[in-house]
This record gives sequence, structure tokens and C-alpha cells, in this order.
Amino acid sequence: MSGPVVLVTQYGAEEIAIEPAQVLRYLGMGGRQPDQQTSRMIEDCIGEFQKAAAYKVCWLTAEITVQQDGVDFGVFYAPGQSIVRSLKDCRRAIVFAATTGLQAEQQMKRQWVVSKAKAVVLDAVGTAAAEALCDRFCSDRQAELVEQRLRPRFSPGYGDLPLQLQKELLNCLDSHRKIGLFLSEGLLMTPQKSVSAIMGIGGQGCDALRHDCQNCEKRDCLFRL
Amino acid sequence: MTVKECIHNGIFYLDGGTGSSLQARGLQPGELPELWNLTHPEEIVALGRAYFEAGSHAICTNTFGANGLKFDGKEGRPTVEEIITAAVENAKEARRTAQGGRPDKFVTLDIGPLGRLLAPLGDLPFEQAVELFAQQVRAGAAAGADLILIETMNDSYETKAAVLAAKENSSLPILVSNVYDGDGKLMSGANPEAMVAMLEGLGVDAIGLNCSLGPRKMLELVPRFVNCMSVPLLVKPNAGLPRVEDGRTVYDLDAKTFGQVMKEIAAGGGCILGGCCGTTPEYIKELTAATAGMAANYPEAKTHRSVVSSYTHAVVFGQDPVLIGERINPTGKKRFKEALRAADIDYILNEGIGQQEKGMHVLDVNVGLPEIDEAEMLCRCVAGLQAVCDLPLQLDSTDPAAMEKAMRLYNGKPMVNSVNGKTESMEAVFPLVKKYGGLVVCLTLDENGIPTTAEGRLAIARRIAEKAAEYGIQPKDLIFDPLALTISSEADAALTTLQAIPAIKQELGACTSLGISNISFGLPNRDFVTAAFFTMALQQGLDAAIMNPYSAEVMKAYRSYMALTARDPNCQSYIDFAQSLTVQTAAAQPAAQGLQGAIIKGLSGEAACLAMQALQNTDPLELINSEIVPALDVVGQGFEKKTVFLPQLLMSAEAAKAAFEEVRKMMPATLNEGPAVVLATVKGDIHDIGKNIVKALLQNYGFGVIDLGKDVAPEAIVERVLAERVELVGLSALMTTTVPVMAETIAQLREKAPNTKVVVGGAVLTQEYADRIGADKYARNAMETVRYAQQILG
Repeated sequence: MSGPVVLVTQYGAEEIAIEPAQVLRYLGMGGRQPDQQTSRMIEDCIGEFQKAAAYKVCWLTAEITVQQDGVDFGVFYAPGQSIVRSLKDCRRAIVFAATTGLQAEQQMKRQWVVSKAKAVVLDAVGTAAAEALCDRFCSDRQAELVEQRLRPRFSPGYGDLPLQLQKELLNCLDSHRKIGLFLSEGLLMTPQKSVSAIMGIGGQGCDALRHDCQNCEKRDCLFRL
Repeated sequence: MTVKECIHNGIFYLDGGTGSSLQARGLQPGELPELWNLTHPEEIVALGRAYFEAGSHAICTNTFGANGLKFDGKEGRPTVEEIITAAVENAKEARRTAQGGRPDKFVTLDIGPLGRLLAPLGDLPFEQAVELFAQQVRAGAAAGADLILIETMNDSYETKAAVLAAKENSSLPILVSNVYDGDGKLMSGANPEAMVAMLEGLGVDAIGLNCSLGPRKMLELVPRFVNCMSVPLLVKPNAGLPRVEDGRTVYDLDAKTFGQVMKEIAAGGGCILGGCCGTTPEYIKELTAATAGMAANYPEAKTHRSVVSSYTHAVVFGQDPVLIGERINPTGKKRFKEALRAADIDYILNEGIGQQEKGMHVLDVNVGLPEIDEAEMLCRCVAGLQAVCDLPLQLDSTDPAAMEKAMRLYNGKPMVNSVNGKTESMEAVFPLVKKYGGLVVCLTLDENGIPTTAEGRLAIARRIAEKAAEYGIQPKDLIFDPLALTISSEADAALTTLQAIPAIKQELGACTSLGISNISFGLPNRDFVTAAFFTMALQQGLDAAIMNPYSAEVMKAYRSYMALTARDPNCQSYIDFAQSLTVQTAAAQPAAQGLQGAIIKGLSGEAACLAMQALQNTDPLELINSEIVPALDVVGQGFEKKTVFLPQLLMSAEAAKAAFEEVRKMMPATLNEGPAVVLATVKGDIHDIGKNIVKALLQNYGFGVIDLGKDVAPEAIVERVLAERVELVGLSALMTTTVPVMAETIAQLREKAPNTKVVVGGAVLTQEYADRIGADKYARNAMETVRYAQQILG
């Protein structure tokens, strides 16, 4: 068979570090000092989330053709200038979907009933965990590359890359079978704490495995660190 | 031979992989394999023929994803019926043209998952899933398939939907196969014991596992199935584990080794064997060669295994005593009735989670009130509970229509409460148990009432068991309740019940259960008597009790019984329990900081305790105005000034709510709620975190909240606003894609309810967006919504 092969990579909780500072950031408290009660709650929620989480990534490496108005991945076509810019000069790209698992999702639902305060924190922990999972996955992929660098991950919905692309992207990864990641009719992912993205494999380029707030112009961002 | 006879006449061989084999024949990535039934029938026939010639009794049609979500007949796409009819024809053609092979050859309608997650976790309604599968089943049966294989299912709920569709639309034998991970769990969390309980309850013909794992890993799971199942075990592994070699997927087991491991699986209890991804006709040839001459090792029928299940695990009766929490029941509970009338599902879900934390194994769910639609409420509660609590449920209703709806919707094998010796009752309940599966509580009473002797109750039990047998329901799916009547009106009531327990168990070989609380009705300090009776009943062999988990005396009796009967290794559970009681007593004294302080600090337990004390000599309304609201204001203002953060704000909200609950108890009627606000996350959006925060705060400030939930259509919002004459609507959206729906909702509101104000919020919204879609107010956070509500409705 020719064409890209979908692989599944799993991580244990001990391999994914959820940083309290990131949790605070997603709570809209980035860079500020939480009180003792909140700090303890964050620690507790990280512990509980890690117990329920099942970190899985399904991914493929595609040969791509960057065209004027979009990028041809063979298995799908991604239209728009944003993706063209993101993948400029690349001939290959990694397409991936990462999830923290259905049990973690259920735990959050349960927490909503028991304590909304804790649920809000758990939700932020989930976001931080999904990002940490992507960071870990990307750095592992980067480590496999000898001379090339990975571009920052780019998701459907960013810039002018349509959210509609989620359908084809997750479909070609067979994400519901491979890692239990589903798409709703409204194009949202379940489990919610999941990420789908594309990363160019470029010659040179920015080494931005993690987003750095200091490089960003939007100074009134709620999530600025 | 018929298929069923053949399945029970030795090892039954299925085929190997389809998708991976078609890729080898040129199927391109992204191309739908099912289309090949129409575009490359010769390849499909050739593959099927090769499997028959390799020794398969049955081959699967190439219809894994042939469902109405993919094949809708629109824009040039074929319909489900076209695909499936062609696929069955191809399989029949393979059978006609196969040289040699088995004398009996069968065509299996293959059904895979829909690719969408079912509600409540996902957004595909259960009945819609049933209908999608039904369409496949009807097409397959009409085209002449001999049996149905529901396979590669990674969610127990979707599996149930498919099985119901198969049962309701054909009389073909049904084989069911799920995908387990290395730990023996489905993606949705179910283990083999839970799946076997549910699927045998539904009456399928074989159960097993396929895909994801290679045969060695599956071999490890085989005993778990064999130990709990009565129907034949199906095993269809991958050709080992996949890896990439030169851009191709290759599997690490060759055909010969595959055959050898499958031989071990057959010896261990695998009766229906085949292969999944990576296996080819060559693998099936090696499989049949390696197992040639072996007798099928059918599992022993588990005639005494009484079991119920949730979407994660099974609970077995007849070993350790099973505790069934009785708190989800309005009888005698004013607050619970209020919650039911107000459709306050969260209150009910909290009762469920609380009982689980107290150690219950099963939860009884009774939501019958004369003035509410019981069927609708029972279904909402069952779905709600199954989203947050993984205990099996005991569905408790006297309304057969409500019972049927709930049994259908239930994810697992439920406990059914109840049937009795009246003909009318048995004729209503037993057909449901036969169709959906369940462990049914049988009350030993009939048209003549409750017999006063143990013999009389045994006689009714006997009649119930006989009637059940007529419906094909075995004694293992009956659990008899010999009824505990209060000793304050009948001196030997307890003795009669205690005699009936062993009598029923011995003669009928079935389990027993009791609602134990009733025994002490009318007595002071009832729990002492209830607890002693519980111990006595357990000693007589009682298998389950419906009980109050918050009764310390009853829990003490249970923990002590477990330790005394060597069911508690090292008395560890007893020790933990006893120590937790000591800690609770010590923590009962609130620190002296006043109700306001407790709310500001977000200490719910203390706030409730202090409110209760204050209410002894303070008017409830006075307490709200002088203590609770000022405390909330302090925190609310802190949040606005960014000195208090969201989690703290919500903790205070919870503490205030706990104080309110105490106030409620003192109010003569229901606490009059203020003017109502409708809240909803708009259609297409499933995020409700922001909306839920707003709801909590609005309730704190005394507003009535009509929460329509998430993914709500504009029409539904307008309808409620008109019906309840609501003056303020809050809409939430997280995604840019759903903002147009928000605009549409506002447009409809403007037209139908021009005086209603609309406040909008959510991650993507800005003042600019809000203005553009015509909202009255953009609220950046929950407090802003509260302030706006005060301004508009205050």
C-alpha cells in the first residue's frame, strides 16, 4: 500500500508534566499569585486529572505540495493563506490529533455536579494537559529529525484555515477508532481536551515548539503570561 | 445446517481482514472501501472466495462503514441500501463460485461503528443511532444475509444501539465483538464482565473481541470472558502489532505463528475464530489447519450468575452483599420533590454521587410524582446519572411505559424494580426483561396482598419463577424481595421475613433483596433496629439491601458483618471506615468566623452548619439579607476588582448555596425565586462551562434560572421564553462558527418576543461582535451578567 500510514503514540501520566503556572494562565490568573486554597486545589486537580487521563496521539507524515491558495496533503486539501504561510518551503508535514481521553472528560462532568469551583480548575488543568501532551509529542518528533525543524503547530480554525477541515483531517487519521477522538456535527471534538493540528517539517525556520507570550502583540490577552 | 446449529457444532471460522486486504488490492488512502462493492465487485468477490476456500464458514460483507452518515444518496453518493445489497450479492457470488471449503457457507452482514459519539458524552442521540443501524440491518436481511456481526465497537452504548436495531429488524443470529485495550477496557471504559452482562441480557448469540490487539494479548483476556459468559466466545485478532516499514504498514505476526497462537485461544475457550487487520486468507488457512480436529471448548452455562452492569463494570449478586442506595426517591422528601418539580437534575445527580462516595454498589432511581411526566424525568435522570456516576442503576417505577423507555436508554444491564405476583404486573414487566435484559426484583405479594407466613411468600415466589420461565427468563435474572413489614404493627414481621430468605434461596436457587428501612417504621431511634435486622438478614443469606447510605448505624452493621465473615482482608475496610467516623466527629465543630466569613472563605460545610444554628433564632429572610447576600457582594466585588479569582468566587457561591439549602428547609413553602432568566449555549456548540458559571451565580443572587443546556436550537429558546414570559435571555457561544447561530437566535427573539433583553457571552465574543449581532448586552464574565440582570429585572 502506498500513502501515509497512521501511527498511534501513547504516553503515561508520568511523561506529561502539567505545570501549575499554565493552569493559572488558563484560569485567567496568569502571572499572578494564587491564594493557598486555590494553589492546593490546583495541585489536587492535577493529581486527579492525571489518574483519569489516557494520553494518545494518532499521526501521519504527509508529502505536501504548497500551492498559491492552499496546501495539498494528498489525503486532503487545506485552503487559505494562513496554512500556505505556515508551511512555506516545506515538502512534508505531520498531521496529528491528540487527546487526553474520555475518562478525563467524564471526570470533569462529574466534578461539575459536585463542585463548580473545582470543575473550573479541572477544566483549566485539562487544557494545560492537552497542550503539554502536544508539546511532548512535538519535541519527540523534533528529536527524530536530524537537520530539519518542526514549524509551530497550526490547527483548523486558526487564521483563514477553515474549521470545516476538521472533518477530513480527523477522518484521514481515523481518530475515532485509533484514539477515541470524535467530531460533533458542529465540528467540535470530544473529548473536549483534545488538539488537532498540522506541523510543517521545514529546512530552517522558527523553533517555536511552544508558544511564547512575549513574542505576541496582543497585550490585553486574558491568557497572557 | 442452520447458522445457529453450525455455531454450536464445533469451531466456527470467520474470515480475516477486509480493509487491509483491499488496500493490498489497490484501495487508495481516503477512498471508502464500501464503494468497491459497486466499483470493483470482482475484487470483493475474489477476496470472499479466497476466505471460503481457506476454510471460513462465514465471510463478512464489505459493509463496515456502510451507514447513513456516509451513504446518504445525496450528491451522487450511493444509499446504504445500494451498498449493502451489492455487498451481500458479492458475498453470495463468492459462495457460489468458491471451490471446496466448508459444506455450509454463510454470509455475514458486517456492521461497524458509526464514527460519532453518542449522547450524553457526544452529540448523536441514542435513538438516531438505533435508526442508522436499523437501516443497515433491514437492507442486509432483505438482501439475504444469514447472520449479523456487530464488530470493532469501542463504546458499550453504541453496541447496545446496534444490537437493539438488529433484534428489532431481523431474526438473524447476532454476534457482537468489541475492541479492548491491553488493560481489557473499551475506549468508553467497559470491561469484559460488563459487556457480557449487557449483551447476554440482550440475548445475543456470541460475544467477543476483535481488532487493536494481536492474538497473544487477546489470549490473556480470554479467561475473563470464559469465567463470566454462557454463549460462545468470538476472537478475531490482528496479525500482531503494526509497524511502518518503507512507508507501508506491516504486522509482526506471520500466518503460521498466528495459527499457533489461535490454537491456544481455541483451547482456552475461543469458539468462533477469525482474524482482523493484517490477516489474509493465508492466515485463515493456517488458523483452520492449526485447529483442525479440535472440539470447540464452549463456556459452561453460568446458570447461577446474577449480575447487573453499568457502562464500566458489572456487579455480581450472591457473593458479597450488594448495597443499593435508596436516596433518589421523592417519598417523604420535601426537598427532593421540589427538585423534581423544578427539573433540578443537578440536585438529583448530587444525590447519586454522594451515595457512591458512601460506598453503595447500585443506585435505586425513583422519580415518580403524580404531577410530572415520569417517563421523561426517569430517562433524563438515567442519562444524567450515567454521565457522572459509573454505578449500575436500579430502575424503580410502577409505570411500565416509563420503565420500558428507561430500560431501553440505559447503558448496561439494569436492575428492574419491580414485578410482583399479580398477573398484570408479570405480563407488563417480563416482556421488557426478556427484550432488554435485566435483573428483576420480585416482590412476594399478589392480588391477595402480602402473605403473613414465610411459606405463603415462598409460594408466590415460586409462581413468579414459573411465569418468568414461560418468558424464557432464568432464575438467575430474578431477585426475590420477601418484604420487610414494620414490627411496630406486627410483632413477628421480622421473623417471617427472615425465614422466607433461606426458603426462597434454597428452593428457587435465586438471590434475595430487601428494603430494610421499613422494618423499624414508627419506632424511635429507628436506625438501631434497622441495623440489627440488617445483620440478622445477612446471616440468613440476604444478597442485597436497599438502604440509606447516610445511616451510620446501618453502615456500622455492614462493615462489621464484612469483617466478621472474613470478607474484609485484614479488616482494612472496617478500620478505614471506623477511623473516618472519628474524624467526622472531630471536624463537626465550625471555626468561629461567622456565616459571612464562611461564605467569603468558601467553606460549604461550615456555612451550612452556621446557617442552621443562626436559623434557630433568626428569620430566614433576615438571614439572607443580613448575612448571605452581603458576603456574596464582598466576593463579587473582589472578583470585579480582580482581587478574587474565579475558583474562589465559585467556592463562595457553593458555600452560599449550602447556606441557602438550610434556609429553604425553614421556609413555609418553596423559597420564592426571583424573576427568571433563560440560559442556553446555542445550537452547534457543546461547551457549557461558561453558561454553568453564570447559572450558579445568578441562582446565588436569587434569580430563577431556566437552563436549556447546550446545543439548543433558536426555536427551542424562543418557545421557552414565550411560555415562561421571560424578560432576560443569556446566550453563550465558544466557537466563531456558532456566532451566526447566536445572531439567528437573537433575530428570532426580536421577532417573537420584542421586549425580552438578550445578554451574550463566551470566549469568542467581543463588544463588537455583540453589537453586530444585535445583543442588548455583552458580558465579559459571570458577574457582569449578574449586574445586568439586577439592572433589568431588579
